[in-house]
Amino acid sequence: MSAPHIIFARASFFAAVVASCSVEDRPLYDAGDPCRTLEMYCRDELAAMQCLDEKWAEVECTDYCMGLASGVSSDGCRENACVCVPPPGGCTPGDAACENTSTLRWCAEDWAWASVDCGVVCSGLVPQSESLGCMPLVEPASKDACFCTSEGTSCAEDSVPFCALEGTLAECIDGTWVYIDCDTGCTGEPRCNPGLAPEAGCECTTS
Amino acid sequence: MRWYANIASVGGLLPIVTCGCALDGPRYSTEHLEIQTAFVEPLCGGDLQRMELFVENVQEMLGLTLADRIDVFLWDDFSDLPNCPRGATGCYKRGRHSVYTEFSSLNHELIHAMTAELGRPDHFFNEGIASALSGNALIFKAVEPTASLGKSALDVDRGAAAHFTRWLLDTFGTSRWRMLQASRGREDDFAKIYGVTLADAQAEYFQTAPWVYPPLFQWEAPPLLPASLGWRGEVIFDCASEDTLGQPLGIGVGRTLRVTEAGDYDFWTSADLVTVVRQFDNGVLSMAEAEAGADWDFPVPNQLRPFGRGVAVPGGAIVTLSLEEDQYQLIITDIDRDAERAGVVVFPHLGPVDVIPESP
Repeated sequence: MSAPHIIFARASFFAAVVASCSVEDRPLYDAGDPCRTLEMYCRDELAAMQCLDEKWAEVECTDYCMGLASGVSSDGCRENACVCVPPPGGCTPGDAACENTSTLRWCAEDWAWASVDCGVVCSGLVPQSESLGCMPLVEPASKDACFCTSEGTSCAEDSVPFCALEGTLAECIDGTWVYIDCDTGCTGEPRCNPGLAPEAGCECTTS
Repeated sequence: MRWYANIASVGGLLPIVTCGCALDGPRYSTEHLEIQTAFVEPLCGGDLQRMELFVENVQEMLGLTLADRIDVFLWDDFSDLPNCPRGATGCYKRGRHSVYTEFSSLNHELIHAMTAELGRPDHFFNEGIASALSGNALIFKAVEPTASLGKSALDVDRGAAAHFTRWLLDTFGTSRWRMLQASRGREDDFAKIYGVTLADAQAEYFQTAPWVYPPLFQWEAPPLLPASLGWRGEVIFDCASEDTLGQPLGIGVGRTLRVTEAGDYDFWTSADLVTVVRQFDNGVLSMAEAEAGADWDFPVPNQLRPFGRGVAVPGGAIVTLSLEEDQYQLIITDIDRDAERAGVVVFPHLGPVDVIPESP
């Protein structure tokens, strides 16, 4: 994951602001002009204008990218944002990829990879503390993540059943969350219904 | 709060001489408004309550007292409105004390009607006050607001005028604004009333104005009641009820959800859909959230309304939404208007989750 990545690309914001100004209005995008935004825009191919302390200021993209983390370099200014390139062996924050079936490699804010065991990640959640392993996300497909479940974790006896998935009811049985497939014994359309009174339950509808 | 029953369903049988148009829909009367609709689906108790509360809120805020009821002619689409400039979504006709509008511009036009008795200043200030209080969040814009001075009503940069006008109200109070509204609203009027030139005021505005002003008015529905797990309730589609809206998607019942702990929550309804809109009761969201929100793939990309766009959860599905600690407005909607009641359930997401760490 070392491809250049656009940070804070919000071309639509800039276009919208410009479009809403009538011809003779002077847009306030010069250095020193007042601003209230996290957006930036390209002054030229190498520099951007950034809103700092509520005033537009010129920033060289080289300086901007270096300021994000050690070793981060600039690939110029495009689409109203400085394009920053990770250091060799580094990554762009937000990237995540499975190292193996139980370990996730993720990109921290210092633009460096960090590894974490999915069991550790899940154990910090309540109640989804059991790890199902490291797997690809459906959306965005380019990323992986740790998947955690509450199935098999402990629960208080008075815990209320809930719909874990559209066709799966979770019930607290003997102090453990048990996932029950609603299609068991259903010849119609099975589903978990959160709206049943007094609490969620499986139902089987026939058309 | 007081309003009167739907006084007649005239069905277009009676020509309305005073406004020059007869609409096909029912008529309604509230304490401050006489409403006729161009659509047959009824307005409900919540619609009328929301309109009336808005009028009362603006009156109180600006120190106004309406002498006469306002005639409101209401459309539910972007038709060419009679008596309005072509392409306008609403207008106020002073001579008839009448508003012609579709829903999205109703509050804006009502403010024109409410402030008309004070005077008719430059369009910059007139449109500024109507947009400043119409119920949307106001964002600082990258233009000189006063560049709109002297322009026509359609050419005024309303977002900038609204933000500047709100700053004037917050900084100098309503008394001077009332004097300004009663003047021609030119630069010399401004200097006499405020004791500074407009240019100097704008310079101070640039120094001190916040990046956003939260909405001044939000309709609050009854709470969705807590249950043993999350919240749940049954709503009744009773158009006469004050929690029920007749427009625009169908008949909808409002509920307020107070989330005290940020996290993922599952939504479900037996109705056709439930819309979920964050109300920013704790002030406003962060600039990062707002600007990220501006990229959402929702309609109405309006500089005045980066917030307030909701998520629609389809009926029968369990949909997980990430919520911050805040207040949310839920509208449980029956599109065909044939259901009597529906259930809605919100509970913490306890099923499987995917996780990517965010910090070392």
